[in-house]
Amino acid sequence: MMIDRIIRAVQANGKASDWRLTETVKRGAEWYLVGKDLDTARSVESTLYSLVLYVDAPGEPKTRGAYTLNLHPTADEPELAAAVDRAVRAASGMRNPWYPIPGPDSPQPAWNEAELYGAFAGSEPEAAMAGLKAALYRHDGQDGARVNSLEIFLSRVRTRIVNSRGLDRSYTSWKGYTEFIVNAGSGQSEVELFVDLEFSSPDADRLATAVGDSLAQARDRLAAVPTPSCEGLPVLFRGKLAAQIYAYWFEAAQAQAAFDKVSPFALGDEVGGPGGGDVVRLTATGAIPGNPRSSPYDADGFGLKPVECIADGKLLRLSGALKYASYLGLEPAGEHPLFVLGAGAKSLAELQAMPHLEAASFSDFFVEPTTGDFGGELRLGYRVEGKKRVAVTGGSVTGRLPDNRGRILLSRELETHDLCRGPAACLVPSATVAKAG
Amino acid sequence: MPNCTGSPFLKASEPALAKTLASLKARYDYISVLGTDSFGSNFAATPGERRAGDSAWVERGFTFRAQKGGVVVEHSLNALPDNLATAVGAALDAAFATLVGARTVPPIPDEPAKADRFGSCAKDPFAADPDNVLDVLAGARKAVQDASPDIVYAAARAEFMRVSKLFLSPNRRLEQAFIWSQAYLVAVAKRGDKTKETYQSLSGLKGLELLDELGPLAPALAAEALELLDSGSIEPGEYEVIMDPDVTGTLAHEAFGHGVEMDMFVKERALAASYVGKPVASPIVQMFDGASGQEHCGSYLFDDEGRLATRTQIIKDGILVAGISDLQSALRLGTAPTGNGRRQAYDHKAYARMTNTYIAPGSSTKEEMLASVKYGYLLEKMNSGMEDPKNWGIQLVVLIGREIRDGKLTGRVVSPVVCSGYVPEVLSNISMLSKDFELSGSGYCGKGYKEYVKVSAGGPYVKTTMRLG
Repeated sequence: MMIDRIIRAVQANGKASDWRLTETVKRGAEWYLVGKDLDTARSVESTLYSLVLYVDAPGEPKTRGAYTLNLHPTADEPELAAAVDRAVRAASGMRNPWYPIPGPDSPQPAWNEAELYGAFAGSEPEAAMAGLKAALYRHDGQDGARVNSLEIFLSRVRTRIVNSRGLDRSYTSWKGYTEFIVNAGSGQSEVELFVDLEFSSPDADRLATAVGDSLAQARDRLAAVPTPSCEGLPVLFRGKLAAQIYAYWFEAAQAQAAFDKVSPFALGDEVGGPGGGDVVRLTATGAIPGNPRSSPYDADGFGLKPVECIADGKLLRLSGALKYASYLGLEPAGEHPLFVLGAGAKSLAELQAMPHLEAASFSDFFVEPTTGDFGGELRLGYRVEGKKRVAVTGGSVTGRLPDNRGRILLSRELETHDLCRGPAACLVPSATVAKAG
Repeated sequence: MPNCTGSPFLKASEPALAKTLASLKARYDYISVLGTDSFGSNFAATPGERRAGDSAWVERGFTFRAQKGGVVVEHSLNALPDNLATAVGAALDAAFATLVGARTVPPIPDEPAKADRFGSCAKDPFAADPDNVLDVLAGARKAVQDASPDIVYAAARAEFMRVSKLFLSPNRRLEQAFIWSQAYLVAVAKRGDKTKETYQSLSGLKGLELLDELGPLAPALAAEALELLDSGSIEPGEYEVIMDPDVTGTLAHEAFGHGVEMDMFVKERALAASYVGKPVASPIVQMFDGASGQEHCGSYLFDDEGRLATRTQIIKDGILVAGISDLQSALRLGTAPTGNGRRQAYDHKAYARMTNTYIAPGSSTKEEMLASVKYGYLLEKMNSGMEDPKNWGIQLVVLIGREIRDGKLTGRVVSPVVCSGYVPEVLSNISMLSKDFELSGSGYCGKGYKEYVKVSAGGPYVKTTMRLG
């Protein structure tokens, strides 16, 4: 077995103080469609090995260096030996503060494949592709809007993490991704929207709804007018755009950001304030059903249990790799891939009842985690005043989250997004809208 | 000067690959294989630690492509089992069974070709002492951070890649290996609740010698980070703008690079398809893309479908003249493939992708251009960009906008700036091009939000008008 060959190469070298080896076995199916027709199909079978070699330097205080190798199953013994030697030499001079790696008694969270991945569990990716296609095309052509092209990726990933301290963890995960282009109109006036979606269970209704909503948005973009002046209006973000806003708080709860001193908040800080906004409550988590980023362990193999990072608006704990927890002298929590953000006090309908600009689709929306700057060119939005809801396009939205501290309103309804489970929408009071044209 | 030799692994694998092709040749109308063995390292120095590891661009594997009855399928794997031909044939047959009734492509040509190219660099990065690399990075980083207590974070990173590829088909054998490198200096400055981040980057078909250029960038980067702490917000509106070469390159890349990727023509996603032969830009604009013709991060001998690189003039005297294509798109459209079929890695699909994309220089000086602006902004330091090939919108996010009034920089800075506009208007409003010419390849290009490939982009300083917000 390749794992044994790699471990033998590390042991033969004899200079690593510790090591961690991750085997990732992927089997994937890919379908590419133009219109409704299959254009091509691909299959992928790969096995990768990530080997981290830790080298401690003699003397006090204890120091440690590390180098991560990406190894291929086609590597022979001389190549493995050379790679290990190269990594050990690179790690030897680093002399970073010493930190531990997890042992066999580290947490082992429950991991229910059937609960997380539904009917995917126990099957082959190819078997699910036709069903995924049917779901994604359920609403195609609805009211004249259609799917221009679509790609489906589904892979089953078996991961095993072993280390020199006796840790041995294995789990299977499923990663689904689709991106599609929807069109409305025809000829020179035809418009399109790009949409992508991550999934990890064959939730046909969720997939169909995502496409259906996008088709409706394409029709709205066709009828949209240039974005007018929206001075003084708050901006409502929904779906994955809202999740990008929430990720600002999640990034602030990362141990590495604290260690690097780039986090906007320190432990104990209020992330909000007396601005009339909802209180932020954020829990870092390893798994959310339906989310392909779910994982029972972080890269170290440390078991991930939910950690309440922001409680009642105050940053209390940090998520992060064992290394950064050690550097900061914190209780280890592990590096969580996902988070859950608590609901706000108002319903989505109540938020929508206020005059606002709803941002539905950007060319490329960005939120900078360090500066809190956000913005993007608006492809589709809605200017809402009372019962009047006008689709708009063009122009841009920019702002700073620090200017909105303590003032952001969160919806009561929750949704699962790519990064989190959190409020379906948030209302950001202070942003600059550049009108189109 | 060390030469970049081909991959020993690929050379050793070639007999098995050739035998597999020979075995499967009779079963399909077309069969080929792309082998990759790309190796590289990352180094980083941050305030509290030094880090190193293999690059995320590291890959080693194979993609077999077959065509039967016009249908094209692929199978990617990173093992070489004894029964390679049986395993690959079974996977390809399974894919063909899935694709009954699928769209077809004219026969893939397999004209005879044999070529190789092995790059070189002044200092082999893979022979360097890692401690020395990290010392250089740590020194540059420290110089930035020591400039002011307001600089709360500074980091330096470097990445070195040796790309090796082998393409085989019954009639073609192509091999290439070359090195590209990139380095970054990053600074974060903070005062009160205001935090600003900026960077300097270097890139090219270079080796360790790239790091010689890093340290001298530190003082300007520190000054820039501090300057951004005093930056304000822009009053949204339409302005005269002058783009630096990096922003110009991203304009070219996003405006008419993605828009002329001809797989978009096949999907009827590109408005540009109906504008070939028509004016889309100012008559002074000449725009190119090509893996040949420039030596930068987007350069290569052959693409990931075994087609030799070319240089394509996309806009000539303001007229849209041609697009860039992968092989299948060219076959469907009846055009000549341009050698732009690229994969993120061996286990990804090939798409029509850019390489080195640029606007050619003009005859003005930057000073003449600044002097010509009544009220506008000099846009510097690219952050991100996004295309809109169907509706010709464009988004560019730049970190620095320097106010110009009456032909002079006022010293006022705004940050960040979202630049948007209607592509033909932005390009048609180009009124001046400087004599300068710079390419930058420190970023990467995605197709949507995936399929990242290494590219470069650039050009001269460009004067036009855009909406800023």
